[in-house]
Amino acid sequence: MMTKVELETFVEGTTHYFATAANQPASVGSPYIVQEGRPTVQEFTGLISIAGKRRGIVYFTASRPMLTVMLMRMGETELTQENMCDLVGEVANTISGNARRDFGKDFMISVPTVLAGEPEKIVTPDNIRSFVIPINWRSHSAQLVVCLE
Amino acid sequence: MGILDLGRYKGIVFAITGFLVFMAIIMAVNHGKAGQFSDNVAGVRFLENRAQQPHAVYDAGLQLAQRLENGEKIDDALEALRKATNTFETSLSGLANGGMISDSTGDIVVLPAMTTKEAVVQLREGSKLWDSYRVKIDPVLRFSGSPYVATQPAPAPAPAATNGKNAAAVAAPAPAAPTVQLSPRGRRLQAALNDLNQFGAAAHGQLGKLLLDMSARVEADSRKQTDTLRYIQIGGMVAALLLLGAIFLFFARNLRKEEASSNRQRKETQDILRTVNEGLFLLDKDLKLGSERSMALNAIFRREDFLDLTFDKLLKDIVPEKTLRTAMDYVALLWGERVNEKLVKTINPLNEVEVHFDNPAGGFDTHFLEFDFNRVKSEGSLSHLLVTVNDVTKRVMLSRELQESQEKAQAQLDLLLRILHVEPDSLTSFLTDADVSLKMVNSILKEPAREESAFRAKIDGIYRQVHAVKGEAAALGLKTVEQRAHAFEESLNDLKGRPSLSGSDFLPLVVKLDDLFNHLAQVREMLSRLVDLHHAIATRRTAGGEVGAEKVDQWLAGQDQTQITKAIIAPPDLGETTGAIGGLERTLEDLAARVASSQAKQVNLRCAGLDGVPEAYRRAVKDITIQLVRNAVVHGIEEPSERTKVNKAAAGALAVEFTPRGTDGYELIVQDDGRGLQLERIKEVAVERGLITPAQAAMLDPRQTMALIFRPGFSTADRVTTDAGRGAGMDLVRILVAELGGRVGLASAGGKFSKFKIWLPATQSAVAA
Repeated sequence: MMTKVELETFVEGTTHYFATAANQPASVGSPYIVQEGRPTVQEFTGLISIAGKRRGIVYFTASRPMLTVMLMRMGETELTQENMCDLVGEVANTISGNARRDFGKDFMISVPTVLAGEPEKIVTPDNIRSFVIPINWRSHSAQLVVCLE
Repeated sequence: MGILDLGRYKGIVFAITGFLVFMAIIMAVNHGKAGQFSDNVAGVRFLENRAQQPHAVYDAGLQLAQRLENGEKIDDALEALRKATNTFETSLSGLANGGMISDSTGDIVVLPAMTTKEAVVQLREGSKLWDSYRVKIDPVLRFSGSPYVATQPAPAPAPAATNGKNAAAVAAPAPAAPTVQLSPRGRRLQAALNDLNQFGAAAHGQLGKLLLDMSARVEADSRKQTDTLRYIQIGGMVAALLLLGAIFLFFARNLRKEEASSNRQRKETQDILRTVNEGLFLLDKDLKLGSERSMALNAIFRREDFLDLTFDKLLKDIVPEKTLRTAMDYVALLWGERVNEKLVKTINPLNEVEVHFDNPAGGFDTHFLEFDFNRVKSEGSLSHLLVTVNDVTKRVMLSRELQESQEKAQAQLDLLLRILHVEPDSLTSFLTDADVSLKMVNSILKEPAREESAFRAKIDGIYRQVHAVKGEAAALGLKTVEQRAHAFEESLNDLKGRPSLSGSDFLPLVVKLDDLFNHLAQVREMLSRLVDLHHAIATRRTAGGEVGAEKVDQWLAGQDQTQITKAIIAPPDLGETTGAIGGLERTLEDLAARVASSQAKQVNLRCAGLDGVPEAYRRAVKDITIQLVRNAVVHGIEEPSERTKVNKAAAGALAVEFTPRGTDGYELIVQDDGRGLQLERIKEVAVERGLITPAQAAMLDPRQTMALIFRPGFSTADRVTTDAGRGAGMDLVRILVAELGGRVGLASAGGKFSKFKIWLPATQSAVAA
């Protein structure tokens, strides 16, 4: 069963990125569960796979407008798709780093993969509910999705 | 290995030793012969030198005679004769006595050539001749004094020394002066000299020749030695070459044989390593993998390159850090010299290790590997660890599946025992309602929220849903669900008390929600199995099955409940005519009985008209009655001893009536004959909980006081339990009634009764509302 500590670790990883890299903290929205069907997937997704004590995926998915503003605030002038992919990849990387720090000894955490669209490529374990945690930043909202056995 | 334990090198060591011994012998012979050669050279030189000696004796004799004739002094000439005689005699005697001579340094040298038969004969003859010669010399040498008469003038000094020949030459033309007068001894000397010189004239040549012959013999012997030496050297070299060739051939053949054997062994090893299913490799002290390993290792570790790989690098990317550290500690332990291998093997942490390989399509491929370590000893000390790796994924997965299925079966059995007492329809109804409630909770959570007020607004809504689930679970005696819902409420209360709220604070809620969803799914699965079981038994019964089937029916119908006097017994024919409300009646009975039991009270519940509850109100009526029945038992009904004191029946009477009122809608009455509402206690609690101030309390009339119990957070229970205490129940009743557009009325008489009267609008108006 998913534990509060595990969820908090992933959430902290995400908010930590916003606080440090995006120069403006993000707030955590009201978390909920997706029981049936696929959880939300926006235009850009950074994903890590987890094995070991737990098995499944964790991903951060955000919209193009949100990433555009983030890039601008980070002083990036080239608002290209590559840069947006890099950005969600970095967020995933920070989540991964946080998870490694907190329970890396029991977990195997993959290198982040980045998807532009392509929600069909995100495969969640069967019969497992996903936890969706909205990450609100300025007027935008991204999602952190945690789907672990 | 002992110093003589040469193993496979024995042959070569013996061969080389033999070769060296052979060479040493050749060298020794060579050396001996070479020494003999130098002796012979010295001998030749000696003999040539001594060959002049007989001539010197003869010359000395002549010179002595000449002096005598000339009247000269003879002393030195006599001495010269003696010396020459002695020298020759010593030389000849040495030669005759075993061929001994003295070389230039004075050392004695033995000439083997002098010991041959011919030489001995020749020397013997020479010695004889010399002996005869010596007989002639001796009288001369014995002479002493002056050979002249005493009156004779002093003899003339001897002429300057000349050699014998010259002396002879000089002596010959100079006849003795007539003036020389010899004494009688002198004349005898002269006669002896004449005799000597006559003999010597022939003998000295023979003796000189003898020595020259000897010299030639030694020289010939020396030449022979030289030839022998040459032959030995040539023979030695040829033999050495042959020996070397033989050694070479022998070892070349052996080497070829060994190489062939080694090639065969290597090929066999390679065949084994190529075909064996286990991953095999050696680990050295630096934990580096050996160069020989089985091919299976490539497939097991999904890599081709193992060159210079260390054990930790092999595992680093495929196991979590903790496992890696444990593995390295364990391997280090195996290197200890004093370790009991069998004992250490029993604590092998890698006998079933979970590894994860990167999947190119994303994520990980998980496998289970079994590592086995064997210590390899060489010459008594630990040299390597032999590591055997097996992919035991299938075995582990099967075993885990079996274990999971056993655990699941055990969990289901536990769950089964917990839900067996619940009537299936009630359970179905509960599961449906609970699912709706939890989905509602999730919907509330899902509503976007950024501001604190939005978060806070969610709490009450969620609370009501969870409380309803908890209430019904408690009513059904589903302790496991009730406890989970209770824990959920605890979390909600915790949130309520926080000064500020954000999404992170809601994380525990989703975790608990997930847990509740999971648990209800398990209950649902068990229920489904129970129903299947019931149908199966029913089928067998209609086909003339066993009597025992009825008992299962009774369980399924909840007829094994004995804690309560049932006013209404549901028809046993399940799943056909029993409606949800029939289930509610039983639910309420169970609830009343369970709560009464936990409070050490007795209660008789009477239900009426619940089967007439319209569908639109079904859920609300259920939630409301559950709350009110529980409240009545906990707060209203007194303990039996207290009741008997005031002449009441020990068992409290509790009635639930649902009555249609035509166009006026419906009336739900829940009434108990307990102690009634204690207005003063209500005021005190309200003040304690900060709902009102003491001043306000003093101003309240009875009606206002009674209304306090509907305030959120009001409860007169001393402690929070799953049955009471949080003060959410009456608030829930108020809200449910309000949501349906109804009203709540409350009447109570201290010590006599409490009566909740709820009016609900007609269904149409309810729907319209």
